[in-house]
Amino acid sequence: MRRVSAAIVLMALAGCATTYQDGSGWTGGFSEVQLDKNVFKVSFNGNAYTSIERVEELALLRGADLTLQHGFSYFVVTEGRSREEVQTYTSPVSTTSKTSRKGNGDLVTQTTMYGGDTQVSKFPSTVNTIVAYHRKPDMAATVYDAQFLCGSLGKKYKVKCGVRPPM
Amino acid sequence: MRRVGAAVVLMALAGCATKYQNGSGSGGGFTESQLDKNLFRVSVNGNQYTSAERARELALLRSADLTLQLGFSYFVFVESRSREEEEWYTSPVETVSKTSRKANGELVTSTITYGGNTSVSRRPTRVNTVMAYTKKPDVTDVVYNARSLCESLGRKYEATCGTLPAFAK
Repeated sequence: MRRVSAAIVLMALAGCATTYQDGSGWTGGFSEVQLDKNVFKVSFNGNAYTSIERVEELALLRGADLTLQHGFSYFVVTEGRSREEVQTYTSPVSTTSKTSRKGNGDLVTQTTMYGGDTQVSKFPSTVNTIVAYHRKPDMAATVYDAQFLCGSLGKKYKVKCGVRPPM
Repeated sequence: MRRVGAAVVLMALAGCATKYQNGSGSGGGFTESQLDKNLFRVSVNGNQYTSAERARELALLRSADLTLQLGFSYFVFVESRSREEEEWYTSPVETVSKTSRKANGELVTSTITYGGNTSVSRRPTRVNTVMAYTKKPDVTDVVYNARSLCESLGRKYEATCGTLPAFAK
Protein backbone atom coordinates (compact mmCIF):
# COMPACT_ATOMS: atom_id res chain seq x y z
CA MET A 1 0.00 0.00 0.00
CA ARG A 2 2.80 2.34 0.92
CA ARG A 3 4.43 1.46 -2.36
CA VAL A 4 1.32 2.40 -4.31
CA SER A 5 1.10 5.83 -2.70
CA ALA A 6 4.82 6.44 -3.21
CA ALA A 7 4.35 5.56 -6.85
CA ILE A 8 1.43 7.97 -7.15
CA VAL A 9 3.46 10.80 -5.59
CA LEU A 10 6.33 10.08 -7.97
CA MET A 11 4.00 10.07 -10.94
CA ALA A 12 2.42 13.33 -9.87
CA LEU A 13 5.86 14.93 -9.55
CA ALA A 14 7.43 13.61 -12.70
CA GLY A 15 4.65 11.87 -14.56
CA CYS A 16 5.25 13.59 -17.80
CA ALA A 17 8.04 13.61 -20.31
CA THR A 18 10.70 16.30 -20.20
CA THR A 19 9.60 19.53 -21.87
CA TYR A 20 11.71 22.10 -23.73
CA GLN A 21 13.24 23.77 -20.71
CA ASP A 22 16.52 24.88 -19.22
CA GLY A 23 17.94 22.46 -16.72
CA SER A 24 19.72 19.21 -16.20
CA GLY A 25 18.27 18.23 -12.84
CA TRP A 26 15.72 15.67 -11.95
CA THR A 27 13.06 16.58 -14.49
CA GLY A 28 15.61 17.08 -17.25
CA GLY A 29 16.06 19.77 -19.88
CA PHE A 30 18.83 21.32 -21.94
CA SER A 31 22.18 22.88 -21.12
CA GLU A 32 24.77 24.30 -23.47
CA VAL A 33 28.30 25.63 -23.79
CA GLN A 34 29.48 28.05 -26.47
CA LEU A 35 32.83 26.82 -27.76
CA ASP A 36 33.38 29.48 -30.39
CA LYS A 37 31.41 32.27 -32.09
CA ASN A 38 29.58 29.67 -34.15
CA VAL A 39 30.25 26.41 -32.29
CA PHE A 40 28.03 25.08 -29.50
CA LYS A 41 27.73 21.99 -27.45
CA VAL A 42 24.09 21.24 -26.67
CA SER A 43 23.04 18.63 -24.13
CA PHE A 44 19.55 17.42 -23.48
CA ASN A 45 18.72 15.15 -20.56
CA GLY A 46 15.38 13.40 -20.32
CA ASN A 47 13.63 11.89 -17.33
CA ALA A 48 12.41 8.30 -17.10
CA TYR A 49 9.17 9.15 -18.95
CA THR A 50 11.02 10.51 -21.98
CA SER A 51 11.89 8.46 -25.05
CA ILE A 52 15.29 8.75 -26.66
CA GLU A 53 13.61 9.96 -29.88
CA ARG A 54 12.04 12.87 -28.02
CA VAL A 55 15.38 13.81 -26.45
CA GLU A 56 17.12 13.74 -29.84
CA GLU A 57 14.48 15.97 -31.40
CA LEU A 58 14.51 18.42 -28.50
CA ALA A 59 18.33 18.65 -28.73
CA LEU A 60 17.96 19.35 -32.46
CA LEU A 61 15.34 22.00 -31.72
CA ARG A 62 17.67 23.62 -29.19
CA GLY A 63 20.42 23.63 -31.82
CA ALA A 64 18.14 25.48 -34.24
CA ASP A 65 17.06 27.89 -31.52
CA LEU A 66 20.70 28.74 -30.60
CA THR A 67 21.64 29.12 -34.28
CA LEU A 68 18.94 31.73 -34.84
CA GLN A 69 19.52 33.46 -31.49
CA HIS A 70 23.14 34.06 -32.50
CA GLY A 71 22.17 35.42 -35.90
CA PHE A 72 23.01 32.36 -38.01
CA SER A 73 20.72 30.44 -40.40
CA TYR A 74 22.10 26.92 -40.88
CA PHE A 75 23.84 24.34 -38.77
CA VAL A 76 25.58 21.01 -38.98
CA VAL A 77 25.84 18.45 -36.19
CA THR A 78 29.55 17.63 -36.23
CA GLU A 79 29.31 15.21 -33.35
CA GLY A 80 26.14 13.67 -31.98
CA ARG A 81 25.83 11.06 -29.32
CA SER A 82 22.88 9.54 -27.48
CA ARG A 83 22.92 7.28 -24.50
CA GLU A 84 20.62 5.85 -21.86
CA GLU A 85 21.35 5.57 -18.18
CA VAL A 86 19.68 2.62 -16.61
CA GLN A 87 18.50 2.50 -13.01
CA THR A 88 16.97 -0.56 -11.47
CA TYR A 89 14.85 -0.73 -8.38
CA THR A 90 13.88 -3.94 -6.64
CA SER A 91 11.02 -3.60 -4.22
CA PRO A 92 11.39 -5.04 -0.71
CA VAL A 93 9.94 -8.47 -0.11
CA SER A 94 7.21 -8.69 2.48
CA THR A 95 5.83 -11.91 3.86
CA THR A 96 2.45 -12.31 5.51
CA SER A 97 1.57 -15.47 7.43
CA LYS A 98 -1.76 -16.45 8.86
CA THR A 99 -2.22 -19.52 11.02
CA SER A 100 -5.60 -20.83 12.08
CA ARG A 101 -6.77 -23.91 13.86
CA LYS A 102 -9.66 -25.68 12.30
CA GLY A 103 -12.48 -27.40 14.20
CA ASN A 104 -10.81 -30.80 13.94
CA GLY A 105 -7.61 -29.44 15.46
CA ASP A 106 -5.70 -29.15 12.14
CA LEU A 107 -3.35 -26.19 11.85
CA VAL A 108 -3.46 -24.30 8.54
CA THR A 109 -0.77 -21.75 7.76
CA GLN A 110 -1.01 -19.51 4.72
CA THR A 111 2.04 -17.49 3.74
CA THR A 112 2.08 -14.92 0.95
CA MET A 113 5.20 -13.17 -0.32
CA TYR A 114 4.87 -9.89 -2.16
CA GLY A 115 7.47 -7.69 -3.75
CA GLY A 116 10.88 -8.49 -5.10
CA ASP A 117 9.85 -7.04 -8.48
CA THR A 118 12.55 -5.20 -10.32
CA GLN A 119 11.69 -2.04 -12.19
CA VAL A 120 14.01 -0.56 -14.73
CA SER A 121 14.06 3.17 -15.49
CA LYS A 122 15.97 4.60 -18.42
CA PHE A 123 17.16 8.18 -18.56
CA PRO A 124 18.04 9.18 -22.13
CA SER A 125 20.38 12.01 -23.07
CA THR A 126 21.86 13.48 -26.22
CA VAL A 127 24.94 15.66 -26.67
CA ASN A 128 25.41 17.44 -30.00
CA THR A 129 28.28 19.64 -31.09
CA ILE A 130 26.95 22.01 -33.72
CA VAL A 131 28.59 24.47 -36.08
CA ALA A 132 26.41 27.35 -37.26
CA TYR A 133 26.63 29.15 -40.62
CA HIS A 134 25.17 32.26 -42.23
CA ARG A 135 24.92 30.59 -45.64
CA LYS A 136 24.18 27.01 -46.47
CA PRO A 137 27.58 25.28 -46.50
CA ASP A 138 28.38 22.97 -49.38
CA MET A 139 29.27 19.70 -47.66
CA ALA A 140 28.35 16.04 -47.57
CA ALA A 141 26.88 16.18 -44.04
CA THR A 142 23.22 16.90 -43.33
CA VAL A 143 22.80 20.68 -43.19
CA TYR A 144 19.82 21.83 -41.16
CA ASP A 145 17.85 24.94 -42.00
CA ALA A 146 17.35 26.42 -38.51
CA GLN A 147 14.28 28.44 -39.47
CA PHE A 148 12.57 25.37 -40.92
CA LEU A 149 13.37 23.21 -37.89
CA CYS A 150 12.14 25.90 -35.52
CA GLY A 151 8.86 25.92 -37.41
CA SER A 152 8.31 22.17 -37.67
CA LEU A 153 9.71 20.90 -34.35
CA GLY A 154 8.64 24.10 -32.58
CA LYS A 155 5.07 23.38 -33.61
CA LYS A 156 5.31 19.75 -32.59
CA TYR A 157 6.65 20.56 -29.12
CA LYS A 158 4.72 23.85 -28.78
CA VAL A 159 7.86 25.93 -28.35
CA LYS A 160 8.60 29.47 -29.44
CA CYS A 161 11.92 29.14 -31.13
CA GLY A 162 14.46 31.51 -32.65
CA VAL A 163 13.48 34.56 -30.64
CA ARG A 164 16.58 36.68 -30.06
CA PRO A 165 17.01 37.55 -26.39
CA PRO A 166 16.93 41.27 -25.50
CA MET A 167 20.44 42.73 -25.35
CA MET B 1 -5.62 -9.66 -8.14
CA ARG B 2 -6.05 -6.09 -9.29
CA ARG B 3 -2.86 -6.52 -11.29
CA VAL B 4 -4.28 -9.56 -13.07
CA GLY B 5 -7.46 -7.62 -13.87
CA ALA B 6 -5.45 -4.78 -15.36
CA ALA B 7 -3.43 -7.23 -17.43
CA VAL B 8 -6.62 -8.81 -18.79
CA VAL B 9 -8.02 -5.39 -19.76
CA LEU B 10 -4.74 -4.49 -21.46
CA MET B 11 -4.73 -7.72 -23.41
CA ALA B 12 -8.31 -7.17 -24.53
CA LEU B 13 -7.39 -3.66 -25.69
CA ALA B 14 -4.17 -4.52 -27.48
CA GLY B 15 -4.36 -8.22 -28.17
CA CYS B 16 -3.10 -7.93 -31.71
CA ALA B 17 -0.01 -6.58 -33.42
CA THR B 18 0.38 -2.87 -34.13
CA LYS B 19 -1.38 -1.73 -37.30
CA TYR B 20 -0.49 0.99 -39.79
CA GLN B 21 -1.80 3.85 -37.66
CA ASN B 22 -0.84 7.09 -35.91
CA GLY B 23 0.01 7.02 -32.25
CA SER B 24 2.48 5.98 -29.62
CA GLY B 25 0.05 4.70 -26.96
CA SER B 26 -0.42 1.16 -25.74
CA GLY B 27 -1.58 -0.08 -29.15
CA GLY B 28 1.50 1.38 -30.83
CA GLY B 29 1.82 3.18 -34.15
CA PHE B 30 4.00 5.76 -35.84
CA THR B 31 5.02 9.32 -35.02
CA GLU B 32 6.94 11.64 -37.32
CA SER B 33 8.72 14.99 -37.55
CA GLN B 34 9.71 17.02 -40.56
CA LEU B 35 13.30 18.27 -40.28
CA ASP B 36 13.59 19.99 -43.63
CA LYS B 37 11.71 20.20 -46.95
CA ASN B 38 12.98 16.76 -47.93
CA LEU B 39 14.16 15.39 -44.59
CA PHE B 40 12.02 13.71 -41.94
CA ARG B 41 12.07 11.22 -39.15
CA VAL B 42 9.66 8.33 -38.63
CA SER B 43 9.38 6.30 -35.42
CA VAL B 44 7.30 3.18 -35.07
CA ASN B 45 6.51 1.91 -31.59
CA GLY B 46 5.16 -1.62 -31.61
CA ASN B 47 3.21 -3.22 -28.80
CA GLN B 48 4.24 -6.51 -27.18
CA TYR B 49 2.47 -8.50 -29.90
CA THR B 50 4.56 -6.91 -32.66
CA SER B 51 7.75 -8.41 -34.04
CA ALA B 52 10.83 -6.28 -34.69
CA GLU B 53 10.49 -7.20 -38.38
CA ARG B 54 6.95 -5.88 -38.54
CA ALA B 55 8.01 -2.60 -36.88
CA ARG B 56 10.78 -2.24 -39.52
CA GLU B 57 8.38 -2.76 -42.39
CA LEU B 58 5.76 -0.42 -40.97
CA ALA B 59 8.44 2.28 -40.66
CA LEU B 60 9.53 1.60 -44.24
CA LEU B 61 5.94 1.86 -45.44
CA ARG B 62 5.38 5.12 -43.56
CA SER B 63 8.62 6.52 -45.02
CA ALA B 64 7.35 5.74 -48.53
CA ASP B 65 3.95 7.23 -47.72
CA LEU B 66 5.47 10.50 -46.42
CA THR B 67 7.83 10.71 -49.41
CA LEU B 68 4.86 10.64 -51.80
CA GLN B 69 2.77 13.00 -49.70
CA LEU B 70 5.59 15.57 -49.75
CA GLY B 71 5.74 15.30 -53.54
CA PHE B 72 8.92 13.20 -53.83
CA SER B 73 9.46 9.80 -55.43
CA TYR B 74 12.61 8.22 -53.95
CA PHE B 75 14.20 8.07 -50.54
CA VAL B 76 17.27 6.87 -48.66
CA PHE B 77 17.84 6.27 -44.98
CA VAL B 78 20.27 8.78 -43.53
CA GLU B 79 20.06 6.86 -40.27
CA SER B 80 18.02 3.96 -38.99
CA ARG B 81 18.03 1.94 -35.82
CA SER B 82 15.98 -0.61 -33.94
CA ARG B 83 15.61 -1.40 -30.29
CA GLU B 84 13.46 -3.49 -28.01
CA GLU B 85 12.18 -2.63 -24.59
CA GLU B 86 11.63 -5.43 -22.15
CA GLU B 87 9.22 -5.60 -19.27
CA TRP B 88 9.34 -8.24 -16.61
CA TYR B 89 6.62 -9.24 -14.22
CA THR B 90 6.90 -11.84 -11.46
CA SER B 91 3.70 -12.91 -9.76
CA PRO B 92 3.60 -13.02 -5.94
CA VAL B 93 4.51 -16.28 -4.24
CA GLU B 94 1.90 -17.88 -2.03
CA THR B 95 2.59 -20.85 0.21
CA VAL B 96 -0.13 -22.78 1.99
CA SER B 97 0.80 -25.38 4.56
CA LYS B 98 -1.54 -27.55 6.51
CA THR B 99 -0.55 -29.43 9.65
CA SER B 100 -2.75 -32.10 11.16
CA ARG B 101 -2.30 -34.50 14.03
CA LYS B 102 -3.17 -38.03 13.23
CA ALA B 103 -4.91 -40.39 15.65
CA ASN B 104 -1.56 -41.90 16.72
CA GLY B 105 -0.26 -38.43 17.67
CA GLU B 106 1.95 -38.04 14.57
CA LEU B 107 2.10 -34.53 13.00
CA VAL B 108 1.68 -34.37 9.22
CA THR B 109 2.46 -31.16 7.28
CA SER B 110 1.70 -30.60 3.61
CA THR B 111 2.91 -27.48 1.79
CA ILE B 112 1.89 -26.13 -1.61
CA THR B 113 3.50 -23.10 -3.28
CA TYR B 114 1.84 -21.05 -6.00
CA GLY B 115 3.06 -18.16 -8.13
CA GLY B 116 6.58 -16.89 -8.73
CA ASN B 117 6.11 -17.06 -12.50
CA THR B 118 8.00 -14.51 -14.52
CA SER B 119 6.64 -13.18 -17.79
CA VAL B 120 8.57 -11.01 -20.20
CA SER B 121 7.09 -8.76 -22.85
CA ARG B 122 9.10 -7.03 -25.55
CA ARG B 123 8.08 -3.96 -27.48
CA PRO B 124 10.05 -3.08 -30.61
CA THR B 125 10.85 0.44 -31.80
CA ARG B 126 12.17 1.43 -35.21
CA VAL B 127 13.43 4.91 -36.06
CA ASN B 128 14.32 6.09 -39.58
CA THR B 129 15.73 9.43 -40.66
CA VAL B 130 14.72 9.77 -44.29
CA MET B 131 16.00 11.97 -47.11
CA ALA B 132 13.55 12.23 -50.02
CA TYR B 133 14.32 13.00 -53.70
CA THR B 134 12.34 13.81 -56.83
CA LYS B 135 14.78 11.92 -59.09
CA LYS B 136 16.63 8.76 -58.27
CA PRO B 137 19.82 9.99 -56.57
CA ASP B 138 23.21 8.66 -57.57
CA VAL B 139 24.37 7.45 -54.14
CA THR B 140 25.89 4.25 -52.80
CA ASP B 141 23.09 3.74 -50.22
CA VAL B 142 19.99 1.71 -50.95
CA VAL B 143 17.53 3.94 -52.81
CA TYR B 144 13.88 3.07 -52.27
CA ASN B 145 11.17 3.69 -54.82
CA ALA B 146 8.32 5.10 -52.75
CA ARG B 147 5.56 4.25 -55.24
CA SER B 148 6.40 0.56 -55.52
CA LEU B 149 6.94 0.21 -51.75
CA CYS B 150 3.53 1.74 -51.13
CA GLU B 151 2.02 -0.91 -53.37
CA SER B 152 3.87 -3.95 -52.06
CA LEU B 153 3.98 -3.16 -48.34
CA GLY B 154 0.62 -1.40 -48.52
CA ARG B 155 -0.95 -4.61 -49.77
CA LYS B 156 0.77 -6.65 -47.07
CA TYR B 157 -0.39 -4.36 -44.25
CA GLU B 158 -3.78 -3.48 -45.77
CA ALA B 159 -2.95 0.20 -45.89
CA THR B 160 -3.33 2.76 -48.66
CA CYS B 161 -0.67 5.44 -48.91
CA GLY B 162 -2.04 8.97 -48.66
CA THR B 163 -5.01 8.20 -46.43
CA LEU B 164 -3.25 9.19 -43.18
CA PRO B 165 -2.07 12.79 -43.63
CA ALA B 166 1.60 13.67 -43.11
CA PHE B 167 2.65 15.51 -39.96
CA ALA B 168 -0.93 15.77 -38.73
CA LYS B 169 -1.49 17.23 -35.32
